[in-house]
Amino acid sequence: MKLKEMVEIINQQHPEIGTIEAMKLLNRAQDEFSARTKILESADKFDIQANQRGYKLADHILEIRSVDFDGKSIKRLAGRPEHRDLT
Amino acid sequence: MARINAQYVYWTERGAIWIAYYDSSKHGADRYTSPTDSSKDVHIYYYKKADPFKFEGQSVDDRAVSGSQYLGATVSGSAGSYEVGADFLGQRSDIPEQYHEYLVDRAIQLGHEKKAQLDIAQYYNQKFEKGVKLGKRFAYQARSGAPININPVEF
Repeated sequence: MKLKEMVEIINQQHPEIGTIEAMKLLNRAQDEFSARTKILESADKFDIQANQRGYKLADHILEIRSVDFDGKSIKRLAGRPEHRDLT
Repeated sequence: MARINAQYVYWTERGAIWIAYYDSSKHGADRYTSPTDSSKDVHIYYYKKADPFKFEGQSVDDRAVSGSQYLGATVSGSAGSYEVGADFLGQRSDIPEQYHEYLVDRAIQLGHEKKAQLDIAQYYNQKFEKGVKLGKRFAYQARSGAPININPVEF
C-alpha cells in the first residue's frame, strides 16, 4: 500500500489530520510494529580499526542477531569482561 | 588439565558493539584483547527499525537509498545529501505489504485517542494488536516455517 493510500484511509476517519501529521502517526506505528515483531532484518559491514574494541551502532539497529568476524561467526559474550577497555 | 578457550567474541553495551579476543589461559586485563589486524572486517546481522516515511525535501540515510529511490520514491542529490522528491506520497513501508493495514489502524487509533474517543480507539487498538501477533509469528518463522534460535555463551 502506498503512503498516499494510507493517508487517504486515515483521512476517511480523521479528515482534520493533514498529510504531515498522518505520516508522523504512521511512523510511530511503524516504529512500534518493527520493534515488537522484529520482522525486518538487515546486515551491515565495517572494517576493524587496529586496537579499537568498540564500534557505535546506528540508530536503525534494534537488536543484533549474529556477528561474523573475518568471515566466521563469533559468539556473543553473556555479560561483560571483568576488566573494561573503552577503546 | 584445563582446556584453553581462545576465540573472538562480541557483546553490546552503551549503544555500541564491542569485539575482543578472549583467551581463557590469560588473566586480568589480558584475558580480553582488542583486534589488531585492520585488514579484517565485521558483518553484523540485525533486526532493524522500519525506515520512516519522509516528506518532500527531507534528507535520507545513504544506506536506505537504492537505485535513486527511497521506499519507492525518487531521491535527488548525492551520497551524504540525498533528499526525497515530490513523489513522496508514493513511498511504501519496508514492512511486508500484508501488515500495512495494521499500521493504518494504529494511526487511526492514535487520532481517536487525541479526540478522547476511547471506545473507537480501543477497537482499532485490537486490530493493531492482531497485526503484531501475526507479524511476530511471521518473523519468528523467518518465512521458512522453522523457528530461529540464538543461544548466548557464558565463558
